[in-house]
Amino acid sequence: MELECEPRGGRLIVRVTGDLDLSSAATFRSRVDGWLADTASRDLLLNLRHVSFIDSVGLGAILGRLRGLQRTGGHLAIVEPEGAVKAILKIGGIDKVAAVYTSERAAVAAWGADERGA
Amino acid sequence: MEPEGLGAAGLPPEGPADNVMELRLPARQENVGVVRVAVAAFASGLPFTLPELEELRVAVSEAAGNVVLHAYGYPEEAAGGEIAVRARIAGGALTVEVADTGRGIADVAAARRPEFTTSSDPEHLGLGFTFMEQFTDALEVESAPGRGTRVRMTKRPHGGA
Ligand SMILES: Nc1ncnc2c1ncn2[C@@H]1O[C@H](COP(=O)(O)OP(=O)(O)OP(=O)(O)O)[C@@H](O)[C@H]1O
Ligand SMILES: [Mg+2]
Repeated sequence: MELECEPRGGRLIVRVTGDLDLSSAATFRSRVDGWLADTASRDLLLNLRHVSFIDSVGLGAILGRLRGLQRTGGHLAIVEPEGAVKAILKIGGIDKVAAVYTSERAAVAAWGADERGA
Repeated sequence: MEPEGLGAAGLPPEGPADNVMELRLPARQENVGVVRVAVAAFASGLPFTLPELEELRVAVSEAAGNVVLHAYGYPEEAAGGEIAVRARIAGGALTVEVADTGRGIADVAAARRPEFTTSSDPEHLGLGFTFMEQFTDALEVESAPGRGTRVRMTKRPHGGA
């Protein structure tokens, strides 16, 4: 698994590539939490477009970050992947608790719309 | 005398012999990926679609991951414990068994329910068995407390259609 982080206007974009599973979930947790704290970001955009594999532990790690964001009034947005990874997110109910987009561009545009609305 | 069941050409009369793969690995998290890659490669002996192979990879990883996380008291007591995998292609279907000789499951019916977990980690959702069930055509779980657990999953190309 590879992670890339880009702070943008008080928000954090994290791009995940590869397998988010039992053996990478702990790294995912600690790095994302570290970046959120370091950048004092309230909202998180997780780009999962290039995630090739996810299991229940990976899904748990995503929902765990969501719970942390909710405690501080933050939001989670997801750029969804394809195939079984997408099916797992759906069974896990992620579409009920996070805003799901088909591209990073669409997700960032929605952030912009929020700001203009506020 | 001819070996039983073998026809003139040395093949069983009812078509090609079953194909079987067996693996035994230490119950360590880095081996879960080894199991899923091996089973997916073995499964390509049947005409599974790519999405079906992805589903299979998830189901097999959940079973093997459970051995690593739950069977032997992860991570302290896990040393020495093994994941045993047996995959078989027969009758146009793939059967994968994932077994351990760990602590076993006291109440299998309860463990199979969505969101049931004995993990103290709040990020463990208890969805492993749910994924195994969703992504295969049949799931059987046998377990004996103190003796171990065996999960058997069957998957057919195109859901058996
Ligand atoms: N091989 C095993 N040995 C011992 N107990 C097991 C085994 N597999 C599963 N269990 C028990 O069954 C429960 C449910 O398993 P399941 O995979 O559905 O959820 P989980 O592993 O707890 O969480 P998740 O898979 O969502 O990370 C586990 O919490 C554990 O108590
Ligand atoms: Mg599990």
